[in-house]
Amino acid sequence: MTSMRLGPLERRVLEALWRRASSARVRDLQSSFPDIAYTTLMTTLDRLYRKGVLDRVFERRAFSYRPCRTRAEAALSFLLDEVGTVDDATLSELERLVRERRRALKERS
Amino acid sequence: MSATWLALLVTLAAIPPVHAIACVAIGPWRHTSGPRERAATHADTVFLRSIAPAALAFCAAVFVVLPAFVLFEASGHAERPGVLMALSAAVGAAYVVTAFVRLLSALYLSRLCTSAWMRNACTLPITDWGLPAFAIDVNYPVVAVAGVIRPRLFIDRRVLECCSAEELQAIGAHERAHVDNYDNARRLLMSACVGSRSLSAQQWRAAAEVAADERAASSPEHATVLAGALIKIARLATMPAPRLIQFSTIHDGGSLETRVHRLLSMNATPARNGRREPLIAGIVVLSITIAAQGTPLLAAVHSLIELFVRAQ
Repeated sequence: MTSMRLGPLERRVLEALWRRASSARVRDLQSSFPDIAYTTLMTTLDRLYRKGVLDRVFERRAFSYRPCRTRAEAALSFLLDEVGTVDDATLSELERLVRERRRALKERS
Repeated sequence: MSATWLALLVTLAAIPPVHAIACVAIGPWRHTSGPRERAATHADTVFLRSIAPAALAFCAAVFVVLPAFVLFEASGHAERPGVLMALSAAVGAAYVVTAFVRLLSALYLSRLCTSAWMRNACTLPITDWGLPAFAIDVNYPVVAVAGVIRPRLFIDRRVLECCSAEELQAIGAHERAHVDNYDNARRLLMSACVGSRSLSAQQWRAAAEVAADERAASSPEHATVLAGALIKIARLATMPAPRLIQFSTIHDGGSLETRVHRLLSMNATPARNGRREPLIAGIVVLSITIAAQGTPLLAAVHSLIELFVRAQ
């Protein structure tokens, strides 16, 4: 699992997609980001898709992107008991500790 | 200016100075949890320390300053408030409006989200958890209790599929601990008093999670099961809530590690929930003392109000 923190441009792109009610292609978003190159915007959208933040479908020879979660769902994260992203190595180490602890408890009882 | 408006101004004007005094008095008190301190005690301390300035300011304004003004202000005696009081009242009004906006937006968002979840939710036939539970399909391994008066438990289907019955029981106990501790109500109060993105709110949320873990883990075996469930849920989390709107960072990596380590280091059955009786008794004694001293105290407060009203 890679690091999932969103950079400033990624946040701006996600905000722009939330503002649009429909999905958008790179070209559709370009007017909202006049200071950003087309290729940079394309890379950012692709990165957001790979992070699982956006869904995409291939239509009319281009990818069309939309957020996986609505703004409300995301904003409501304060209600959620969610376990954030942790890298694989850490999770594996924690799993090993749990297994060891289980074994120790079983031996004790 | 009419007496009603002046009473409102005086009440609002009392909020900023009391808030400032409370902040100065409480600010240096940096509570650090010792290794033997119970997580629930730590969470309660963080919560009280965070909301105390706002709560004291509100209570002093409504229950002391306003009665003092109503009881001792001569009727028919119109006064014009000075600049200082007008400014203080404006700041006080800003405090109150901000708190209400924060509270309403938190309530609105929670309603919006639970409505969206309920549209496709399936009732889970589990009665052990003591609260209605629903399975939902979302893009995140949600395990959440929503609601203050009628709490409901929402669990993402993937969590239900990947966790064993024992782990689900542990998750249910964790969520039940949140309900028993009125954590959603505290969360709303915290949002109103200090804002949900503040450092205090984040610290409290982290402490509340650890406290719920501790309450849910009735034995080392249960603690280990809960730790395993937390790791499984973490494996399902392929994306974080976007940072720009993320209120809480409590389950970011470091915190998960801390929680798992803490659960695995539980050796004995933890004591049940902390004793709040001394705190409640203290508040009752203080209230009775203030009430007994009522008239002289309110008279003194009224004298202060007079000085404040005339200050230019």
